Amino acid sequence: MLQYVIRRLVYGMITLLALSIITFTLLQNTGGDPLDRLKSNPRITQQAIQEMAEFYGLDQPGTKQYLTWVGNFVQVWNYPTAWGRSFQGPQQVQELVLNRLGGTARLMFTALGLAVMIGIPLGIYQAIKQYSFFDQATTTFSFVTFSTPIFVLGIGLQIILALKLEQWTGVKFFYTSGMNSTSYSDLSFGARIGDTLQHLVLPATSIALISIAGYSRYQRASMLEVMHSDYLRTAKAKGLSRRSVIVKHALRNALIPIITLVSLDVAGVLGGAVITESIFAWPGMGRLYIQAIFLNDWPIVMAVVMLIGFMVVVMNLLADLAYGWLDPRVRYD
Amino acid sequence: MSEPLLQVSNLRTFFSTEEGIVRAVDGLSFTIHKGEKFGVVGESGSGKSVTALSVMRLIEPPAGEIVTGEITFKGEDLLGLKDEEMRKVRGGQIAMIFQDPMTALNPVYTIGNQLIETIMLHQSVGKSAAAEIAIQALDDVHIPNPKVRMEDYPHQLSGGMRQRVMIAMGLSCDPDLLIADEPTTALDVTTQAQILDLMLVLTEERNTAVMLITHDLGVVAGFCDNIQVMYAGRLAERGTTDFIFDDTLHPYTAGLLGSMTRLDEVREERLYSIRGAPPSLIDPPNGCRFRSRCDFAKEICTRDTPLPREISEDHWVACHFAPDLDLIRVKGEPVG
Repeated sequence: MLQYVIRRLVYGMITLLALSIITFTLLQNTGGDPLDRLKSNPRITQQAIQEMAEFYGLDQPGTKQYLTWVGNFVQVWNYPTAWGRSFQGPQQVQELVLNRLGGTARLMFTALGLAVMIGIPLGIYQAIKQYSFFDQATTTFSFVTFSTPIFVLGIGLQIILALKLEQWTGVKFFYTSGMNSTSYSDLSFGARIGDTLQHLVLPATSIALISIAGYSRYQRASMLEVMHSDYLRTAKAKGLSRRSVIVKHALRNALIPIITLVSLDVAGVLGGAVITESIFAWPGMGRLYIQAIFLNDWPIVMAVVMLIGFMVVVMNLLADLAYGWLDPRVRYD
Repeated sequence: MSEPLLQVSNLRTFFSTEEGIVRAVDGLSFTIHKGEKFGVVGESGSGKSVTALSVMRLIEPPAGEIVTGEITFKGEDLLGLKDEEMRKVRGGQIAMIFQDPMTALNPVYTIGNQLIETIMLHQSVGKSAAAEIAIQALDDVHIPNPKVRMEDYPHQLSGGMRQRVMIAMGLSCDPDLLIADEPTTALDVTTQAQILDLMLVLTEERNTAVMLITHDLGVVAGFCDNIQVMYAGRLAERGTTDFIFDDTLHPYTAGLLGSMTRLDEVREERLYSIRGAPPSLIDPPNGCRFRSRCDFAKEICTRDTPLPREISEDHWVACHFAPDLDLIRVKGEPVG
C-alpha cells in the first residue's frame, strides 16, 4: 500500500514535469511576446525594452529560460520570489496566485460541497422513486439546469434574487459582486459572517446548480443500475427490509463510480470558474489565469497550470485509494 | 403423498410495457408437497422465473403485478400478508437461489458478512453464534477451510464455489422450500453435476422441498419427483418424472425430449428441433398457444384453449388430443 502510494507519487512528479515542459513549449510558441504591449508603446525606447528583456531573462534561449524557471519554481519555500515576477508590474507570481487561492477555494469548495451534499442524495432518491412525480419533476429540472449556460444562470440569479428581491422587499439579501463589502473591516464578527455569506450565495449557487444537475443525473443512473442488479434481488429474497436493501447493499456499490467524477471536479477547483468569477466580479484564480493568458504573462499561467496539475495528480491518487476502500475487488499491486 | 406445502392456483402475473400487457404467467395452478422435488421446465419466456418471483412476491411494481390467483404456503395466504410478514417468509421459510452466481452475491461484502446477515435476520442469535452457523453451513456445502473463506469476497471464489455459498445461504435458515432458478445454467458441466448432487443430498437430509427451475430436462431427470412443463405462461404437462419421460402426452414435451442428445443411441439424422419461436405474450390469441409450432395442430386448436385435464392420476396435460397422439416419432423411442 505504502509502496503503491510512493510509486504513484513518483509517477505524479514525472507527469508534472512533462506537463511543465509541454505547457512551457506551447506558451513559448504561441507567437506572442510578453513585452509586445510595451513594444507598441512609442514612448518606451528600444533601449528600455532591451533592458526589460534582459531583466526577465527573455533574451535567453527557451531551454535556458525553462531551466531557470523550473529551478526556481520547485523552491516553493522561497516565498514570494520562487515563482518569478509578473510581466505586468512589480508583483510576485507566488504572492499573486496564493492571494487568489483563498477566494477561489471559498467559492469553489462551497459550490462543490453544495453539489455533493445535494446532488448525490437527490440522484439516489430519484432512483429509489423512479418514475414518481418527484423523479420526473426533478430530472426535468436537472435537465433544464444542465442545459443552461452558466452566464444565463448567473445573471438570472442576480436579476431575480438580488435586484428584484430587493425592489420587492426593500431589503438587500444578496450582493452581486465581490467577496466582501468595502466596509468589511469595520464590521463585527457576526456581521462579517453575514456579509461573507451575502456575497457568496449567488455565485456559489450558480456553479452548484449545474453541478447538482450533473451529479444527480449520474448518481441516479448508477443507483438504478445497482437496483436492477442480481445481488440486490438476492438481498430482497433473503427477506431484508427495503431500507436495509438500499442502505447496506445498494448505496456502497452505487457510490463507487461517482468518486471519479467528484475527485476530478475537486482537482479542477483551483482553476476557478472564469465565467462565474467574471459575472460576479469575484477575485478568483479563473480571472487571473485568463488575463495572464491574454497578456502572455507566462509565469502566472505556468504557476496556475502546475497547481491544477498537482491537484489532479493528488486527487487521482485519493480517488484510487477511495476505490480500494469501497470496492474490495480493487487491489494495489 | 405428504401434505401440501405450497399451493398456487390460477396465478396470473402480468407486466405492463410500452407495447402492451405481457401475460407472463396466465392462469397457472400447481401444488408442491413437503419435501417434494418439483421441477419446472420450459424455454425462455415460458413464465418459470416469473412464477418463482410471484411466490416470493418479488414482482416489482408498477411494471409487474400479480393480477389474480392464490398462493397458499403452509395454510397461509402469501398474497394477503403484510410486507413485514412476507419478509419473514422470504429467506426464512422460502429461500431462493439464482441463475448467475457470479453476480448474485454483493461484490463489496465478504461472504461471511452476507451469510451472517441472513442468519441473524431469521434466527434470534447473536453475531458470534450466527458466525458459527455460517461456518457450519459453508462446511455443509463442502467449502474447504470455511473459517478462512468467511473472510473472502465473492470475486475470490470460482463460479461453482459461489453457487455453493448461495446454497449455504439458502439453507442456513432451514427453509421448508428452496426455489432454485436455473442454479446450474451458468456453470460448466462437471460443476453442474456436483452442485445438483449437493443440493439433492442436503435437501433430502433436511426434508426441504425444492422447486427446481430449468430449461434443461436432463437436469430435472435425476433430481425431481414431479415435473411441470410450461409453455408461454401456461401449463403444458405435469406429472411424475417417469410419466413425463416415458408416457409423454403433450407434443411440446415430446419436442423437448426429442431435441435432447442421448448417449444410448447412434444418431444418423439431425436432432429434432421444434420449429418456429414462442408466441408474443402481448394479446395472445385464443386457442392453444403452442399450435403454430405443433405437428398435430388441427382447427380446434385455433378455436378453443385446451384446459389442463387429468389423464391418469397426477398426470395433467393441456392438449385437446392427449392421450391419442403418436408422439414417438417426435421424441424417439423411450430410454431403456
